[in-house]
Amino acid sequence: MNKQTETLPDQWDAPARFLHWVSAIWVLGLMGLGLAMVNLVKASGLKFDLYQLHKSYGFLFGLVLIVRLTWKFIFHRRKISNRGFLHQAAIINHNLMLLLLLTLIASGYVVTCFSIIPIPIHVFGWNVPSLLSPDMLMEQGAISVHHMIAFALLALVLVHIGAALFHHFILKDKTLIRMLK
Amino acid sequence: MLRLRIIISCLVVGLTLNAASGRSNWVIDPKKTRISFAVDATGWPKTKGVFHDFEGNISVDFEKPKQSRVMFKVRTGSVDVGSDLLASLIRSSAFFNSEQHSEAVFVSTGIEKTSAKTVHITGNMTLLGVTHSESFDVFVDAGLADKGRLGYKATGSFERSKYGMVTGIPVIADVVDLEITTEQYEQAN
Ligand code: HEM
Ligand code: HEM
Repeated sequence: MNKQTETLPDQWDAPARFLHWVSAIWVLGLMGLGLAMVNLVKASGLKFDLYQLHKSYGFLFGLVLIVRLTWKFIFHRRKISNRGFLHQAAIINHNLMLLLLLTLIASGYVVTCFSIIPIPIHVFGWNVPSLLSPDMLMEQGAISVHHMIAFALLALVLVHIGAALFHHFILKDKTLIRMLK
Repeated sequence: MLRLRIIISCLVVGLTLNAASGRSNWVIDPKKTRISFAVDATGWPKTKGVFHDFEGNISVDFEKPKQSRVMFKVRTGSVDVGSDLLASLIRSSAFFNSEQHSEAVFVSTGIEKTSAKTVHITGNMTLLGVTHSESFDVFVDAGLADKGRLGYKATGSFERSKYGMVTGIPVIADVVDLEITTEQYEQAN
């Protein structure tokens, strides 16, 4: 067994692991849905349905993210000993992903609010109120922001997944395993 | 016997009168009729839809085509765009306001022959309780005459803003294209 892995301080606790995998699936799903609905689907009706699905699940994911951030930063502050540059980079990447997720959800909500077509976000039969008044230019701006953040996040996620696989298959350490059990 | 004679002669008179005026009434066959529309939007594919609930008839005067009349009535709540969510948005007060204005109606006011197989129909369209004059180009499918049917295809477009339906303009186009293909059978009087 690799010595370094043994000296790693702690396991991720069960809520952190659970929240990690729930949001990993959720985010990859929203990402695929977002890319497909915007770029691939050409039938107006289906496209409309997918947009509403994306908005509802995107908004709902905001609640999951709040729980996750609360757990991570308030109830479960891990003490991290500095284990070098790559480890720092990993932590920075984790925090950046969380930050981009927050801004992505916020920008998605803002897109919806600025739209001149009144289509509220639906969550369990509840219409999320709009806090901004319709504005075509602002909507375009918000879409660009949402688009750029989504692609930046996608890049970080790919690096993140690549790193996890690198740990598992090349370094053969327990980084991936400890996120699993 | 006398009674029968009277009835027969009445019928004959009636028929000749009818032939003289050249007028006949036709009802649309809902199974062979399609009332569809298409609307463009920026950054969005064309939204195409149909209505499932409608009725209509035409009264054709073969001798004086100008005096033929066409009526179409569409229940806007029956709109179908391939998505229940989108349909309910279109039925809402943002567009059709189907709860308050359940019908859109077209009643012709003038018909003009433009070629052997085409006519130009002008008429009053009522949408959201507002009435304006609109016109359609109609292609008459003569091939159906043998089967005792009347077939035609009408195309046209209108500006929804004239009827107070302004939601989404200009992201969603103001101009709505209409296409009606229909077959009609003669109504037995
Ligand atoms: C983690 C959450 C989210 C992810 C990963 C995500 C991802 C994406 C992606 C990848 C696209 C396609 C971008 C493009 O190709 O231009 C997109 C588009 C979109 N997203 Fe999200 N999104 C999220 C949350 C939200 C939320 C919360 C909303 C609104 C409530 C939202 C509303 C939209 C809209 C309206 C578009 C279409 C923009 C357009 O018309 O081009 N998104 N999203
Ligand atoms: C299926 C693909 C994924 C794999 C294999 C994976 C793997 C991992 C692993 C092994 C760790 C632990 C790293 C360590 O112990 O230092 C981790 C942590 C983390 N991952 Fe992922 N991950 C995936 C997808 C995602 C996605 C899509 C996101 C973004 C939403 C994400 C966000 C995070 C964050 C923020 C952490 C830090 C731990 C925490 O805050 O709970 N991961 N991931």
